[in-house]
Amino acid sequence: MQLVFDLQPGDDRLFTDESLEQIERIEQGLLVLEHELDANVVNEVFRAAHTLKGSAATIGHRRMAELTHAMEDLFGAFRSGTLVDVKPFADVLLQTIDVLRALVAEVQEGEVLTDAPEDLTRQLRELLSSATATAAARSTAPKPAPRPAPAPVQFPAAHQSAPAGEAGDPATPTEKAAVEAEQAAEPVEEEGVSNVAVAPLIHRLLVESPGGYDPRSIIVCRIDPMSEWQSVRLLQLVLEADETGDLVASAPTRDEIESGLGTTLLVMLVRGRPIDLLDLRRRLSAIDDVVSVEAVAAPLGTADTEIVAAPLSVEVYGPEDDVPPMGAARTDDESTAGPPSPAERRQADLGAESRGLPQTDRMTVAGDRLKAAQQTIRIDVTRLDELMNLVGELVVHKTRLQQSAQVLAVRLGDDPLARQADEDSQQFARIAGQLQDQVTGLRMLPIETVFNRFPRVVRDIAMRLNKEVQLIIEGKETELDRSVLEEVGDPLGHLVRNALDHGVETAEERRALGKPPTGTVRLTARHSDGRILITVEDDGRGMDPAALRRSVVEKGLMTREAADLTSDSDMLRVIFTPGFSTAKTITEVSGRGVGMDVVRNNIERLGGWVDVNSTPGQGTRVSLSLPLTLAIIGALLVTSGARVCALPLTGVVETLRVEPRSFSRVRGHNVLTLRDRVIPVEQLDSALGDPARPLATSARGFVNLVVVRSRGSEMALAVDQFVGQHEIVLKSLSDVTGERAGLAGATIMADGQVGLVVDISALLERSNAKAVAEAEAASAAIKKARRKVA
Amino acid sequence: MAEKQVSGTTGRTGELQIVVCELADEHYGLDIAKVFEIIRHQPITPVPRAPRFVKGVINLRGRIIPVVDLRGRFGMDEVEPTKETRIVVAETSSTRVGLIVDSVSEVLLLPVDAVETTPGVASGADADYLRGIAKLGDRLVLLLELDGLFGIEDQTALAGAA
Repeated sequence: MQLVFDLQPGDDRLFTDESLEQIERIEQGLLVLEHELDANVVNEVFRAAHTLKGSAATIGHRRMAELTHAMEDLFGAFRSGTLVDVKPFADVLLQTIDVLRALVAEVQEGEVLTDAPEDLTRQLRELLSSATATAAARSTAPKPAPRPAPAPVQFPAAHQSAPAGEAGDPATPTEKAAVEAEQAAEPVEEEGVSNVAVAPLIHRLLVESPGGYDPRSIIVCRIDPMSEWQSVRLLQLVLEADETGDLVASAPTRDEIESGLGTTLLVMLVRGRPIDLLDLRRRLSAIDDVVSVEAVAAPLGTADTEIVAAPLSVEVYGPEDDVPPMGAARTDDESTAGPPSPAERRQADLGAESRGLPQTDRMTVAGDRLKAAQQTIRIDVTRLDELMNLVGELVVHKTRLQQSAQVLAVRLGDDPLARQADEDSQQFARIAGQLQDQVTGLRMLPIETVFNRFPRVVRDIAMRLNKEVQLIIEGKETELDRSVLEEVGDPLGHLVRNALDHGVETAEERRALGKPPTGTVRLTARHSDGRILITVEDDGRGMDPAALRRSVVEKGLMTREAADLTSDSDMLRVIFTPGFSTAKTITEVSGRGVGMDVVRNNIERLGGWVDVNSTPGQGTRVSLSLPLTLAIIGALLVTSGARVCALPLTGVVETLRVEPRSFSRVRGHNVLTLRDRVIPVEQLDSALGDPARPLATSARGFVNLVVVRSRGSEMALAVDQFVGQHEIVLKSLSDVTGERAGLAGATIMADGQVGLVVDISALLERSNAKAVAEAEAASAAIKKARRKVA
Repeated sequence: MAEKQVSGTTGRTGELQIVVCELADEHYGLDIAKVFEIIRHQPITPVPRAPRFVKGVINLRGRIIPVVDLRGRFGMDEVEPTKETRIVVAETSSTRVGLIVDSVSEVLLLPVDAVETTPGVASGADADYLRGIAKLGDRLVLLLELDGLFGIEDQTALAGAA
């Protein structure tokens, strides 16, 4: 089914981003609340649910609005103290979080992705009503209700009298709308906004004029109570709305106004979205004695009237510390007692302030306020990438400019022009460098965005495995480039799952071992030498090199001789071998030993490396080292065939010039013996897929070699010439090759030519798997022979 | 893939503005709206394992775009670049691509009526890249449909190269 939402093109991203933020806030909050009922956190999740509800209703996402509404109500019960323990609700609430994510995804996908919300909404409602009933029964002296109306953020009477009536609600949409509009009075007080009087009017409007399918807005106008011409102003407003806009209905109605009814509050239902009504709002504000005009989307159709809460809480932002002036906007406050809330002050303040200004400037005042409150902006990442591209170009040209200035200095000697050019190019280089830092910084995000998913993951898995585990996160503010961040989540997920599944023991086992029953998984991140170091550590059973040795031999991954020759620390690395798994049982959580292999692959593809330390009985630590950014990388430039190739420095071990006679031949391949290691040699261009050609030698008969390394295997790439070491901007070449084996992308050289960036790990993996195996066999044979000799 | 339609996409209604290129002795026309710019031949960086007719990639002001030899694509003999050789940078539905042609001769304003749909002779596997044929006096100009020029696989192969 195709879903259509009331969104401007491009706004779906904004909606998605903001909603996901709120959802995450709730999720994080829930994980805290599960252990401790912190009032601040309760308020935060309540507000987040409320905001979500509002934005879902604004775009007409009914299922999402209903679900978030139910969630908000439940949080409300914790807020009011009716409920005190989150634990019994944690599972269903976390499930709700997952469903909400799917509902948000629906906005971008445009189709229904989950059929769970209706069911969950009902579940939440039932949970709440039974829990509140129990709570009420338990409490011998029920708290006196603040007002005859239902307690804040509980169900409207309709729900309480017929708790199971939600699904087959016999009420007509209009009646339902009325009920919900009444209910809208609750959040009003909850939010401390001064608009109680508005709700009945909106209620009346929505009941009297059931909606069509055009976008509609509710406009709330307030008139200065000191005005002597209230009914005239009201009539002016209604006439203006009728003329400029498309007035559907108003409360009070035109007849009532014409019969002389004086009031300071007018609510109108107008066709058009709030954004479309800017002109009308400006005109309405220009009418004398009008102190405020607010517009907000009315729900499409009839069933969903969530939105009535929105104009009361989210319309105006501003500093909260202003002294509340006794403004006109407070006149309809008589019904609310107590000091005005910040939100109320904001509105009152705005009203009063705009009165002192020319009428037409009111909209601007509100606009400026908004601007002042908004410290951050959202930018599409593709624009950041484009910016990064341009800066990369700039940096390349910076180098060229400096070179030109140097040439000029040599040619002209001590000439003012040459000096000037040199100074200018230096200055330019400094600015370009700073610009590069700034733009790189823009793309940096705290690793928190990835780490934040783990408290939930750990909780769920620990529960499933019936283990007690606490997760400690350190250094979540550590920043790294978005490109790396996107890639690091999955490998980390594997590691965390592994730590829980294979590392941490059950509480009984731990007790028997004299360990604290609760296991600890520690996730840390920090910067180190211009890279980011991430560790996943557990205090579980650890790995035993002797057991690993037995296991690899049993699995046929290594000969007994080779295994015996391998050091303990190298032995631990076999967990990264494809198909290796020491778990006695294949579990649902971490599969069957494909994980670590994938982790290592992904990390090395990013120019990182993985390390593992383990002490039997004490735990395992896996460390990942990653570059801070993938966009600009250090590379060794070489020529091979007709082109320049860039080899990322992370994979380069050393460069060598050797005589061809130092090669030996093993099964038709050239190999080089280097400090006891036997390394296969291949021409770089043929390794990349060009036709094979004889080894190129320099004029003096040497072969230029670059020894590269990935995943513990090495090879020597023969190249035509070394060009030098440069910072390069990695650009996507994605699929131009059809199969892009061995290429990570392309880059633009200082002379404008395109160079190819080699993906060393893929190159080693694909092109030379066989040769490497052969070389390893040869190497083992040589070592064995040596041992015999010794 | 874009639908085949013979209607004016540029200029006044009922007219079609095309860039006429030459390949061997044949004239080919590209909708000017799809042509980004026309540049002189320049050194191309060959990419290993690329499809046969993809000559490699070039740098177009910081963007890396694949370059396709149209002669190769149409099964003609490939020739060394000359002073007349041009790279027509055009936009397919999925990516930007450079097309090597022998020369670019002119920009023409064609009445839509002058364009005939592809005759049966030219239909078959290759008909996808022909949008129609225009008769101009005694000349025949084959109008190319860029999106049909590369098969689905080629499209994916080219996509994202920029």
